[in-house]
Amino acid sequence: MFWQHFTSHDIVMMVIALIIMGCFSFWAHSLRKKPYNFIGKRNYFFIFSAIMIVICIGTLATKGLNRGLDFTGGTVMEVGFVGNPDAEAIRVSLGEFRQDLLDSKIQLQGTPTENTFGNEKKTVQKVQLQLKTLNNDEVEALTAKLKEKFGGIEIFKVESVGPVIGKELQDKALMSLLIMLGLQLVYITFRFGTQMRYGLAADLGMLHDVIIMVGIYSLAGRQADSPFLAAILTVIGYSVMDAIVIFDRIRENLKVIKKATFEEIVNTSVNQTMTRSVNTLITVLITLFALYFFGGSTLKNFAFALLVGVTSGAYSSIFISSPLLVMLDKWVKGRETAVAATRRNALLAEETARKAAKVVRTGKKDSSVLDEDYLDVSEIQDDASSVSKAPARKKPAFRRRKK
Amino acid sequence: MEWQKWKNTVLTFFIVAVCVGCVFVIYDFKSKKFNIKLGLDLRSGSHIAVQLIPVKDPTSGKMREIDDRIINNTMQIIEKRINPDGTKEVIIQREGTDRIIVEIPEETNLVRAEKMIRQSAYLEFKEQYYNPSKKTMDWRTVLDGKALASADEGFGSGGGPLVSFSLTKEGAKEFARITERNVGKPLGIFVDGKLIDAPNVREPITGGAGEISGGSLDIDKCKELADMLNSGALPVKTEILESTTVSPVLGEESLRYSLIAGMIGLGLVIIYMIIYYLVPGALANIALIIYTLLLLASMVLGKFVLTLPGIAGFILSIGMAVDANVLIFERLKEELWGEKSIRSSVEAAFKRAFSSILDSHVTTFLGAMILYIYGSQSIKGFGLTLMLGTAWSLITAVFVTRVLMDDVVDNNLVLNRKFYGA
Repeated sequence: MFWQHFTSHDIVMMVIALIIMGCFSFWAHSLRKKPYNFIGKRNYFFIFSAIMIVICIGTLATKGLNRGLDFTGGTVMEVGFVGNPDAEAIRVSLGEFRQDLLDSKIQLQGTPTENTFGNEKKTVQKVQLQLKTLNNDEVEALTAKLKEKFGGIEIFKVESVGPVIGKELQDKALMSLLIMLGLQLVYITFRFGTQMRYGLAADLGMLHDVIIMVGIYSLAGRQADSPFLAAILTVIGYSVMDAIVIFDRIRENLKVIKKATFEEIVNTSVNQTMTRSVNTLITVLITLFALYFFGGSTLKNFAFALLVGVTSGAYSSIFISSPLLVMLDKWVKGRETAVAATRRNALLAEETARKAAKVVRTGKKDSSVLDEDYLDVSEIQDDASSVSKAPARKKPAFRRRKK
Repeated sequence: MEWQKWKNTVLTFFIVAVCVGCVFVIYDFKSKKFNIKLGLDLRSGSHIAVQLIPVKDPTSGKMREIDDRIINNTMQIIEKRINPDGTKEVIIQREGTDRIIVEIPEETNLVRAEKMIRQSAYLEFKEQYYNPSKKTMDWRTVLDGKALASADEGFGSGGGPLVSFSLTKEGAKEFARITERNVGKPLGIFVDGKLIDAPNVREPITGGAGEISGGSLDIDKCKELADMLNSGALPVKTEILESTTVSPVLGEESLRYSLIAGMIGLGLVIIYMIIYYLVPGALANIALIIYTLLLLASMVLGKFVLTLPGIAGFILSIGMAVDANVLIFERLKEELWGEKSIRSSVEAAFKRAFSSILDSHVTTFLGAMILYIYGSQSIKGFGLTLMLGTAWSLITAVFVTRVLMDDVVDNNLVLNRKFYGA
């Protein structure tokens, strides 16, 4: 049967992953009856994420990103060696073939497996050789050389990318990333209109996920290639979507729940949408774990990127974007009150000053008796001179005074 | 009111009919094969990207600009060389303004593939003349490949392999004149500037036909040369930008493993949905299977090629397709906690979850679309299946699940609210 292809390690890991996800599912389910104060504990999550981000940026700055062959240009050969080949022996023969191939990367992939070549069966160990760009004749010569040295080797795959294409793909990758970010911004703005704080919170969460993904790739020394870019774009979509679902619930609850602070409403909404967040995460993770453990060696790197990104995406929309939204809201409201207060003070001051000026001009000093007249006159004057002054700002102040 | 009563039955039958149609599109019962075209990474073959570089026109001496005509001409020539009998599924595609992508299934020898594409196969007949400056005999071109009508490989009277060729009318006249003045002297036959054969002319050849044979030509090389000559000379110089080859063993392995991973993923998601959401979960699973059928059928109908990243995108989209149902069913649970009937709860759940469903689909779709448009060859397939996937899942999750739910609720198949998740 098909499972004979899988190692017991993979199967055990898959089962463990399923059990962990099941526990999460139960936990999310329990929140219905016993809501958890996510927003109140936001500082813990912020500190956790801050540490992660610092680590990620730190590794990125020091170690850099291991760019894949499609971005740097080069030749990758996947070769099956009979038995258990020695990486050093392979390196030596590469050096003998061409001096500058001595520092190539040589990676053993998985464990030796039985394959049928033509009509004979062989147990081969797959080895990936990451070389400088070779042309097809050189690849053939190298294959002949390795065959001579190591006996019957089998070529699984040869991929050569010239430097021209590499540079182009890299530019295109950056461009598509920028376009994606731009489009998401446009969509978020369209979705939340003038309430920019929702969009900003979702964007920051998304940024968090991209940094984590790139950082973990740098940390693990995995290859950042075209599929990695595809994973990033997918995660950006996922992260934004996950945050929007929670934010939608917040906006809905704002209309329904009247007697609660914004913070409480956000917390209720996060609790209400938690089962949904977790269940969506679990169904996506199930398919990704299946891809990672059983999808063959080619897709492993890609599945890993998505696993990291999607998990981070789900985490950030609950633990980062939502608390951020509360903080942004507080900040915006605080600013609004402050602005309103300063504006009112300014208007009052202006009014007092003008009144004082008018008193001087008309010479009437007993203002307490004829207060109403003053204002009426000034209102007419105000209308007449509205070209130079801004009437919209003054009128409410006068009306307020009148009442 | 009559229609309201019948509406759901009609829609259910419609869905069933579409499913049956999809199965027939995807699977060919006559030949017992799936109709889906597989990419090279799932079987075997070579993929080569070629840069076209302009050359000087031999007659006018001007540089030939790479225009549509030259690109099409080059593509036709390459097609004739690789696929002389038109039986292979070779893909020759233009990319950008001056590039061509060639995909040859089953060909795993990159050197041979490259040679077939790149060899310009410029045929020249040359006569010898005395070069006074070098004080030696030298070759001078007197006729080139334009005079050639056709070429064919075969065996000569002595049993040796050779290429026989015939010339066009004008070519034959010119050839007769050349051979007449060169009787008793050698006539050089050059391909791409390399001397292949230099037979002595015994008598003027007026029939417009001749033979090429030489020490290095065995029957395979003769066939290659004949095919090259028939296809004509490339009007451009070429450079290899990128080349990939996948062996059949790896292709088969990738296909098998990715399909198994897909099955395991789909199976586990189905189990999870039933355990967690009971009746609605089971209905969502039916919708999920319909979704799979629709996606595969649209791959066939759109003549899209399924690649390994494509399968990855497909597997991922299974998880994402379920999201819409999760949104609806979570809503349904909340609605059922109130005093509402099952009927109106279902209605409210679908209505309220829709805006979130739309959001999730739009954001995923945007990413997939960018990947499909700007992505490199290796990830286009991922963008494609993810894009098709989000489009179909919007329909299945909202429309198909709704029809199925209404079937169950309206016919009072399940009355206990607990089974809906309350």
